[in-house]
Amino acid sequence: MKNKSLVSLFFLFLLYGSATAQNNGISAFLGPAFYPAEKANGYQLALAYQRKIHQNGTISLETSQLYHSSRGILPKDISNMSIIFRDYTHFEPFGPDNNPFLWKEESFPALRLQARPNRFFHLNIGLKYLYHFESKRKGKWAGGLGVFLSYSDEMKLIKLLRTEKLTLTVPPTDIQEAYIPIFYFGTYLDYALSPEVTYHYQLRRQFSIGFSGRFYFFPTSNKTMLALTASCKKVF
Amino acid sequence: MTTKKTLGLVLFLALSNILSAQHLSPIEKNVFRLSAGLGYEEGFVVLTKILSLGISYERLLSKRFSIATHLFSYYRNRPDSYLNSSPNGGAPIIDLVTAGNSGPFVSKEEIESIINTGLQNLSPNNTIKMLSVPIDVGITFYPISSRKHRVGINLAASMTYESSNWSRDYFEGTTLTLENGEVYENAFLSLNTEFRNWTPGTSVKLLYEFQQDNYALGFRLGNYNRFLFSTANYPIWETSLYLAFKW
Repeated sequence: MKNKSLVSLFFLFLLYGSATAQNNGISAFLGPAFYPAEKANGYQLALAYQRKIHQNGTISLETSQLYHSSRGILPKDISNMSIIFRDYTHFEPFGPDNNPFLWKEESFPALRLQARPNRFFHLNIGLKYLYHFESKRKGKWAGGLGVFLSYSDEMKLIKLLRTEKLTLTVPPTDIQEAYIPIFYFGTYLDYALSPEVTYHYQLRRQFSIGFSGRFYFFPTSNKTMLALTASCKKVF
Repeated sequence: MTTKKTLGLVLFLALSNILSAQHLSPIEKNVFRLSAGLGYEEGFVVLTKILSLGISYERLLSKRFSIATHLFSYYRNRPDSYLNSSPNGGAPIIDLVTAGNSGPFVSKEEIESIINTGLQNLSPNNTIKMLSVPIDVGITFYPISSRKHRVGINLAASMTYESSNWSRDYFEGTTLTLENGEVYENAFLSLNTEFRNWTPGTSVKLLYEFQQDNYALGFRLGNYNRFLFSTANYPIWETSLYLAFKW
C-alpha cells in the first residue's frame, strides 16, 4: 500500500509537471574533472532534477559523484626501488626468490594502467540556481550557483620515508636504502559552493544537449575542483 | 447479423486494433534512464551506503528487443579489519596517517597541513578504497510489455574501469635504521597494493518499469562480472531505482 502510494505520488508529481507546461526537467552530466592542487584528474557523473521558478530561472536538486586520482609524489618508475608498495610494475618488491606465496605479474588484471594511489572521492547532494539568458536561438547559455553537502573520502601519499636499512622478521630480509610510503586517509562531511556556466542546444521540443563548466570550492578544507561535462536534458 | 451490426463490429475491431497497436508498437524509440541506488560486493555484501549513480541509453529495435548502453559508477570504502585490531601490541603503524593515528614520522606541521576534516570527521579508518565503473553494451529483451508495465532482461558485454587498493600485506616487528643513524625497532608496516586497470566482463540486468505516457519509474537489479584474473570472476551487484524518459 505504501509503495502504491509512493508510486502514485511520484506520477502525480510528474503529471503536475506536465500540466504546468514544461516546467520540469531532468538532466545527466558526464565528463572529465580536475583537481589542480593535487594534479589529479578523473570524472564527474551528475543527475539533476530541475524546476522552473520564474521566466528565466530554474532551481535544481542535484547529486553527483566526483572522482579524482593522481600519482602524487610516487616516482614514475619504481621498479628498481626498494619501496614498500606494490603495483603491476612492482609486484615483488622484496623477499626470497621462488616463494610460491609471492605475488606475480599475473596477479594483476590484464589491461593494466599505472598506479595512481592518491584518490579523492566526493558524493555531492545539493541545490543549484541557474539563470537562463534570453535568446531566440536554439542554443542558450545559463549561469548559476549551487550549494552542496559533500561526503568526502580520500587517500593521499604524503611522504616517502627513506631508511638506510629495513629489517623484516617475516620473511627474514634486510633491505638497504628502502623507502616507506606514508599515506593519509580521511573520510569526512564537507560542503561546497559551485558556480556553473552551461550551454544547451535544443535538439527537439523537449530534449536538449549541451556542456557545462563548474567549479567546486570547499571553503572548510580549502579545495577547488573543476568539472567539464557533456549534458543532456529532457523537459516534461 | 445485419449489415449495420457487421460494419459496427468491423469498425470496433479496427479501432481497437489501432489503439492497441499504439501500445504494442511504441512511437518512442529512444529511452534515456537516470538511476541511483546501491552497489554490493559478491554475495550481496554491502560495503557502503554511498549512492551509486548510473545513466543509460536504449534504442528500441522492436516491441520486445532493444540495444542498450549503460554506465554505472560504484564507489565504496571500508576499514581494514587487521589494521584496526591493534596489531603488534598496539604499536603505531608507520606508514599510515589518519585523524586518529599520526605515526611517529609525520611532524605536527605536516599533520596540520594534511588533516582537513571539513564539517565533520566521519571515520578515520577507511583505508580500503574501491572504484568500479562498468560500461556495457548489450541487448534487452522484454518478455512482458504492456501499456503500464514492462519487464526486461538485459545481457551485455562490459569493460570495467577499476581503481582500488583492496589488498595489503603486513609486517610486524620490523626494524628501521633511519638516515641519521637512529634505529626504530618493533615497527609495524603494511604494504599497500594498487590496482588500476580495465577489465572485460559481462553483465545481466533485470528491469521492471511502471510506465506513464513517455516516462517511467523503474527498478533494476544488475550483476556485473569482472574477469579480473584469468581464473577468477569477481561480480558486483546493483539495486537501483531509475527514471526513464522516452522520445
